[in-house]
Amino acid sequence: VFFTPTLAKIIATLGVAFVLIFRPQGLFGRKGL
Amino acid sequence: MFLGSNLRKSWTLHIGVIILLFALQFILPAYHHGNLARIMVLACYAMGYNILFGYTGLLSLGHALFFAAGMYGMSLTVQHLGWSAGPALLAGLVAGFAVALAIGLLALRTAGVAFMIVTLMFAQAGYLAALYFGEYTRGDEGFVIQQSFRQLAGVNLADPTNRYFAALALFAICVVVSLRVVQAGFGRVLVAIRENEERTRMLGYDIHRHKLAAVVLSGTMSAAAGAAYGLLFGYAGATFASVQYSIFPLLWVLLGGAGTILGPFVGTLFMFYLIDLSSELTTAYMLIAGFALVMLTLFAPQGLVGELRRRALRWLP
Repeated sequence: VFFTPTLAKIIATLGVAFVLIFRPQGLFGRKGL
Repeated sequence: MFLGSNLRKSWTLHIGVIILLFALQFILPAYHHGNLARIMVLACYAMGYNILFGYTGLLSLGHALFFAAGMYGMSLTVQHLGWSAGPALLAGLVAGFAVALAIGLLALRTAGVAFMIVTLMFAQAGYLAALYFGEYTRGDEGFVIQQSFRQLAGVNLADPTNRYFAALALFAICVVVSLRVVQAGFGRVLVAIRENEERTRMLGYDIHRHKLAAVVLSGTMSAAAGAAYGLLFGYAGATFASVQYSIFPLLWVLLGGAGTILGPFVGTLFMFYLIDLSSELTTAYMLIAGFALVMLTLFAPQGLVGELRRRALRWLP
């Protein structure tokens, strides 16, 4: 086990939040489409 | 002249409410006395929420993070660093301010539904962090703040009378700050952003800066309520960072009236006693509370104070 489940949840939650913030068009979406 | 008389009326009303709450301290029985102190502190939380939701039109689902930042900023410095109540309260405020600034800078890059989701996720990450660092925060179980630490300028805050006055003082500060903000140019720009963001931008206002200031003010006020709650009631726990505590202020503000100064207080008072009284009658008290909420939403969609403003008192801020 690399992470405790709680730490894994924190990292996953923050990861998704940062995708929404910095890539609002989605991970593979392109700007302006 | 007309504007001046409205201004006078609104100050008279709000100061009148504060005086009424002061007078109630002498006549209320102990049980309601304790409840009202709690309601006043929670109303400050709701008032902070209202700056962002009611006046700026930004729906956050993560305000528990700010409340908890204030609470932990205060309680952890007391518990682990042995700080006294004054500096600890300040630490709570600074923690709330810093968290609100960071969240504002990040979350305001998004808009609409994404803003709601991002704030919810940050709050959830905060809640999980409180659990993760359970060694210090004691997680869901929380910890009690020793009575000997709950002294502010020689005043024992564990005493019910002092606690009531401290809660009232915080409430009065929040009411005055909210009123001043709403009446100032800054508050009017926030309302303009709520009503029509594009038009406000066209008029030359810096939307991002105003929204960021609203998030920081709202978050700091919520943190002040969190820090005061921990100090006055002597407990800090991760429950206060949970999603439930992000939904509460939204409910209180919606019930009392979004975009009104007294709405958050009326909403908190109403909801608190609705649950309190209905739980005396039945174990299915959430059913009664839910029914009342549905009825209010149907017949008074602008909330109790909002409805009062629509029907009679047009000048209510």
